[in-house]
Amino acid sequence: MGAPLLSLQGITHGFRRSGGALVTAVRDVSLEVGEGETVALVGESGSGKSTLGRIALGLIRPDTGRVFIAGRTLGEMSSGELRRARVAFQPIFQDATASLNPRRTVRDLLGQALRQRGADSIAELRIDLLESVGLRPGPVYLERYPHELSGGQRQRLAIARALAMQPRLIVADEPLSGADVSIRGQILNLLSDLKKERGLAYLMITHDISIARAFADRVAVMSQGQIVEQGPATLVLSQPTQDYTKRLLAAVPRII
Amino acid sequence: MQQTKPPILQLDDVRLTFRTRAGTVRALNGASLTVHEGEAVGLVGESGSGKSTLARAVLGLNPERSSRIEAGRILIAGRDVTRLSQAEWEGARGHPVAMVFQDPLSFLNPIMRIGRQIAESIERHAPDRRVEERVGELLELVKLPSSLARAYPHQLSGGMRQRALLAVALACEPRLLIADEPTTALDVTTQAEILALLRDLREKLGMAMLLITHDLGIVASACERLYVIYAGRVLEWGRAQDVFGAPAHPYTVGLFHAARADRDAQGRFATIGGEPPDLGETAQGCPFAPRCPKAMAECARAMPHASVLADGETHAVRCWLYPLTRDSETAVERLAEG
Repeated sequence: MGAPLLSLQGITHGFRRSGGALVTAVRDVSLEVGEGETVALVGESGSGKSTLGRIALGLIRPDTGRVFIAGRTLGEMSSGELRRARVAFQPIFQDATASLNPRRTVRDLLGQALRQRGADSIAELRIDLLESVGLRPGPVYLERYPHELSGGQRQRLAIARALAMQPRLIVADEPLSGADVSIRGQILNLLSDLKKERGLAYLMITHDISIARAFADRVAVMSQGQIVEQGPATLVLSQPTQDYTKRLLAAVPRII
Repeated sequence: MQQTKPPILQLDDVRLTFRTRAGTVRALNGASLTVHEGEAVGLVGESGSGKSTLARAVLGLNPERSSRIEAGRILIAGRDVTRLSQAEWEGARGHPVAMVFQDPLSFLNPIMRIGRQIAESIERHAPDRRVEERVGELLELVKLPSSLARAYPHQLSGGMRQRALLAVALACEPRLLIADEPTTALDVTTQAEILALLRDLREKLGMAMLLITHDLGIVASACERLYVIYAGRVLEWGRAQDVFGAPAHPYTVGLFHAARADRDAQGRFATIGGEPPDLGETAQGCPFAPRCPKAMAECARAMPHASVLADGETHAVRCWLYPLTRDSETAVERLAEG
């Protein structure tokens, strides 16, 4: 097997508070995501999971530690390689509304992404993208603005825009937190279809254990900036070895 | 069956509309619900279901100008509050209902110390000469250190803020606490603490609770009975153990599968197809019919009355799939006549 798609090694990163105090958000974390693999990064707010997601996306340069993409660090890459590496990892956020420009139509939003990738036959690809995320028939949606879509449709549009870049890894930060329960299944099915059809890998950042359990191959549990436990999802979530993981699992209210 | 206590809250076929620029929105379309003294009841619904509108109606918090209760009644401890004006609500001292919200920061005054806010609530609702002492007692009740009386809201964590808001609410010695998504903004471990606190408080104070949530897991851990609301209508209600054991309405069934992230034989996650309804449309029939996998011709025509599924009327559903009880037969007759 070749090098993993994403490998984070010994990552430490801190932020300076407005008062001047340094807060270490991520402390000596190592994590890998293989081709086509789904890894759930589970933790509570302030655990550092979103910071780690941003480091994976190249949005934050860590204080120490190394980020490998398919076995190579960003520093070793030429500018062309770097650009390709950047678009290979795409984000999806919890709040699709905030990540979609409200003044642009669906046509513009997808066109912009496709042009950025340097795609030909944009018109055709745009419809393909819409239909691949279940916005069918595609042409119906082209002239709409984000606010004219329902919450579930907006999240699908955000996914379509990420797909326009032909990513190999999607870093999804709480992609279902904003969605109603009845919509959650639709989005989860879409994400698993895309995984199957396109061999996509996911780094799924979530506080929701049920989603990690249902969707992930591997789980990493984060607390206070560190990964306290990681392993196969079925194992970690059924026989946790660490106290923190046990507490977290016990706190989840269960449906009888 | 256990002996039923008198109702502290009763909503009887409440219809409430909002006037908006886009037209009239029917937020509650004939919603009925009862909370008995001391009881913990869950109201489960998704966004736009009308669950928060219902809660606000109970406290007269919906905007007076743009909302209207068109029909039905709201009784609090037997008193009809359906037509109270804003001024009458404000004069309603010692009101037996208090409310806490998802986002405590919007309801706590950012520039007033926590202790002062609790004291104001005491002075307003349950005047007491020993205000200082009462503030201390209330902080202890919600398990906050008394030193926090001097803190400002922004200095507290999310869980502490929710406790502080609870102390403000409890200052008026409510017999019913309405909690609207009280833990949605919190982490699971903090959520578990707040739910445990609510349970504890209800036991200590004998207070009833109406817990509004989208999360069936929370209802399972905190409520004795529940109502499932969709598009302003209550579709199913009953004792938690009955509804969880055998959900009846196709919407409730779908909600359970979706909440558990259940999968079918092909490995597909359970979903409820379609989109939530547009509340502007005048819906004759069951609002869930357009998304319902079991919809029949009559579903689009009319909303059935309740079919009782368990003895003692502890579990009931409004769905044409279930054999009609006497009540619903009258409804069919009425439909035929009308």
